[in-house]
Amino acid sequence: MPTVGIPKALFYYKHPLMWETFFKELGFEVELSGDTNRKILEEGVKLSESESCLSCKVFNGHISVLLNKKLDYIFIPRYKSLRKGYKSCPKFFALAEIARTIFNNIPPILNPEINFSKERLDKTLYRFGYNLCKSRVKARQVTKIALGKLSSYREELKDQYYQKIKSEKPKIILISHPYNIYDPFINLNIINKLKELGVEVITIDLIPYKEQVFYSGWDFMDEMIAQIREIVTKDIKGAIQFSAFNCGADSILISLVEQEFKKVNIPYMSLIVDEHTGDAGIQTRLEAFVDTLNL
Amino acid sequence: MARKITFPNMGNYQIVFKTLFENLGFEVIPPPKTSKKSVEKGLKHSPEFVCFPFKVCVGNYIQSIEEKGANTIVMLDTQGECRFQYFGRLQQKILDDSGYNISFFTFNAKNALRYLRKLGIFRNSPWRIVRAVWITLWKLKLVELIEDLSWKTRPREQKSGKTGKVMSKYLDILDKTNSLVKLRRLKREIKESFSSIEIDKSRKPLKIGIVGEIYVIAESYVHRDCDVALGNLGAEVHKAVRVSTVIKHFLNPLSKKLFYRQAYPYLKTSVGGHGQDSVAHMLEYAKEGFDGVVHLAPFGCMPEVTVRPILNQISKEKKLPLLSLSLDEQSAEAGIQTRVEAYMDLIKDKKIRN
Repeated sequence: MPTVGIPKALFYYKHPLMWETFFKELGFEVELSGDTNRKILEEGVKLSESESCLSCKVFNGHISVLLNKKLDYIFIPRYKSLRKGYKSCPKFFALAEIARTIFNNIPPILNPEINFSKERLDKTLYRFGYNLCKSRVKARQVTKIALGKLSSYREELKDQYYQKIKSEKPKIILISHPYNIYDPFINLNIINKLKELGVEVITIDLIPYKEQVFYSGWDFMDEMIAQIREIVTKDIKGAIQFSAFNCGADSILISLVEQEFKKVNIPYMSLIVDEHTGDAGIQTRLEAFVDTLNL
Repeated sequence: MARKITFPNMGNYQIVFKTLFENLGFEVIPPPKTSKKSVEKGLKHSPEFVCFPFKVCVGNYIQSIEEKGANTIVMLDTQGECRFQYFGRLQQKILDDSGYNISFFTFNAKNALRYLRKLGIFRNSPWRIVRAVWITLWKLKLVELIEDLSWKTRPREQKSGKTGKVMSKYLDILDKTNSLVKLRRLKREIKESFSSIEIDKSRKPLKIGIVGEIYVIAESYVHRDCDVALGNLGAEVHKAVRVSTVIKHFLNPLSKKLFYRQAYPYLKTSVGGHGQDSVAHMLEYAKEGFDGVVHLAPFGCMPEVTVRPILNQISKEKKLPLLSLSLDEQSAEAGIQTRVEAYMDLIKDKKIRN
């Protein structure tokens, strides 16, 4: 049985659980790189281009961990667009090529292109599955299971959202990319820290939204703005935007998101972390922010 | 209110943009030459982590609004993948928030016709529009001719600084010339005067290619006269990405496709901006036997930072020395100069040893 390695960073969080299920159903053995830790981060920082964003550095660290295991394939898809007529972050386009140049001993890379401007996700999955197993029936079956897993996960998120929105505690919305929100090592466990301070944290990816056109361009940008417009109508005490250092997208996003909250007079704070950010610094800033909310 | 049009600076291409709008019957206010002052103004108003060209553009706008009273800004949006697609919209917002009363036109493929009508370009007779475009293209050609010739003569000149003088003289004349007949005459004149510069024929200059982001390559303040420094150190430079190549690729998609195919062994997809161009051009330079490549990028530029590991790889595989410079408001001329000098020494050393 061939083994495929999936780095648990960046694209993994765009479609959580889907790729694992997909490969398992196809009869592959799946090796995940596991959660980020100090060693992965250090390895990534050492290998990557120094001006790249922290998330990309961590991604390369995850690949280096995977290479220690015995793998037949490594899975690095090319996420070009997650909404029709829109584009993803350009750093997602060339992940496979960069990995190939950085690591000499890398196994063959499985590199399907996910481009919603060209075709729907189920078609991409089907074609990719067919190329791997050469059976139409199986490919169709696998696609269905993988997509089912993804949608049930998203349903769960929705349930979480409706529970959280009912909570009595002051609610804070945490804005970031999914690969920062779900990586407690990158975000220095910000969600737990906020919980300990006695607030209810609503992460932005939980919020259901209607697709609308605001700025066009990057897919995540319009998604975030739509989600923010949705959440500000609810009783929200404050907003924290969290970004990794030198994220090109966030340099634009921060000013646009800030403007959204300014319009409705909700306190807003932006936090930027890099590989050197200490725990205490973040803690102090969070405490100060939460204190101002209670006034 | 009469429109007074301004636009961001882009090196010598400023002459070209100015001509286009002037011949369409607008009053044009070319932005003052980019300087420390304009960068400071831009820094004050821009988001902190946005890339350097954005800040310089904002500085240019504010300078031409405050110092010369411009009231209309024209900007381009290529609808690519990198941050550039938001430049116009964000800059408009910044200027509005800062209380400047201006109209902002961000041209892209979708709104071009509508905006051209709104600007009132179609009030001109069709003949006048054609003439304006024609003159603009001529000037573009001549600007690039002057640049080409200056790169060729600078490393060979006997009296240092002569090329720079001739270049700025002809750029000035070109700026003032506004008739097709005179432009044709000027072309001959430019060629003659560059060939009349005394050159040392025994010198064999090194050939250095400059790849990277188009704005950074073109705007001399941003790259701190890196091309001149290379020329003075005895290198014949060649800039890869230029406005004429962009227009050529726009008009001829087939040549564009063939061009990008060269990059396929290393990079199969566009990464926004001029990322894939950099890879393709570097491979081209390697094939043409250049002695080295200088890669210019703004600090944190999404496409260029993405391709940098690939460029390093090409440099290793093709044995083509690469100097990659990140430029931002902190980079000083002396710093760039020192690094360029060290780089040139290395290449010369390598050439002697082989």
